[in-house]
Amino acid sequence: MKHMFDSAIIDADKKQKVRKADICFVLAILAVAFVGFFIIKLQSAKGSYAVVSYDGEVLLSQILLEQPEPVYYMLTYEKLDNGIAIWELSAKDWEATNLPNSEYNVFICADSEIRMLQSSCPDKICVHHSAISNTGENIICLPHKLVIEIKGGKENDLDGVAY
Amino acid sequence: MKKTVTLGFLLALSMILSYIESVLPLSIGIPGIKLGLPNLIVVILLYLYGEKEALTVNILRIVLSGFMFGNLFAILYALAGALFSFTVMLIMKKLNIFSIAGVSIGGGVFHNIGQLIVAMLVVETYAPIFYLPVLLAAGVVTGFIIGLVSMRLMPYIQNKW
Repeated sequence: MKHMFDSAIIDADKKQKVRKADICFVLAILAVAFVGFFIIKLQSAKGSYAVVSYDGEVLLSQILLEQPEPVYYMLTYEKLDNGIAIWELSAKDWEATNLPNSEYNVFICADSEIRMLQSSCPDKICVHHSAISNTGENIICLPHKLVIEIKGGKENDLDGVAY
Repeated sequence: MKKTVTLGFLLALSMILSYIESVLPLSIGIPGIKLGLPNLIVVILLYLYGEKEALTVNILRIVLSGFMFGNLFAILYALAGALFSFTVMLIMKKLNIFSIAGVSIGGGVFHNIGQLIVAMLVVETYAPIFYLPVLLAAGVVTGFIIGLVSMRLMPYIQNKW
């Protein structure tokens, strides 16, 4: 009886102590994360334009970040799979605009940054996202399959070569 | 009978944790980072009973709390992350070289990787990969916190039930 009890304690002990494999695993993951951070940092630069795509297809290919005045962009989705209308509005027009009954996203391009202002999606992750301005940064509205990505910037930009 | 009651109790508890997590305002400007509180129950169940019980409670938790506090899209998204994370935790546990903390960290990290893959499939671009480093690091931190709590809870639960 005592014997059985002992082995149970040893077993529980094993589960409760941090083991060598744990540390190796954590270090491996952190190494990958660190390399990723480093690569992003190397490529990071102020972007020059933004690309908006829906479901993998480009909707707006060149939104210049440097704009004399803030520009509001409103996307309305009739149904999630077809019929996307894109509205480009000045601040004045935007104030006079009512939000549509259909699903929508509204983002603003001002001060060389893009920020999601409003969205009809349930989780609002895109709206809580911080403003983006550096190459590679993006805002994703997953329920609406919408991606806004910053591009341009460095001369040796890979996308620049491809075009 | 006792097991059924315990599983029901833990399912209810994990749904409450789901709810707490959904109202916690954890908006730090980076999408997809959360504590993974319900994973506490999954980890405990995995060690207390086994994979069948843990998986059942996990799926029921996601579907039930998804219909109550979320929507169909959120359910599918959460299921993808949860199943990916569960598979990895199971493999890590079976390997028998990791502690509870290690298994929980694996769950946290691969939950994030799973959701990232789903995000890339949904938007059909590689843009989400940008978040991989920060999601990996976040998975380690949140997984460690959950693992530490489960480690501390385990002896009490094993004695009680």
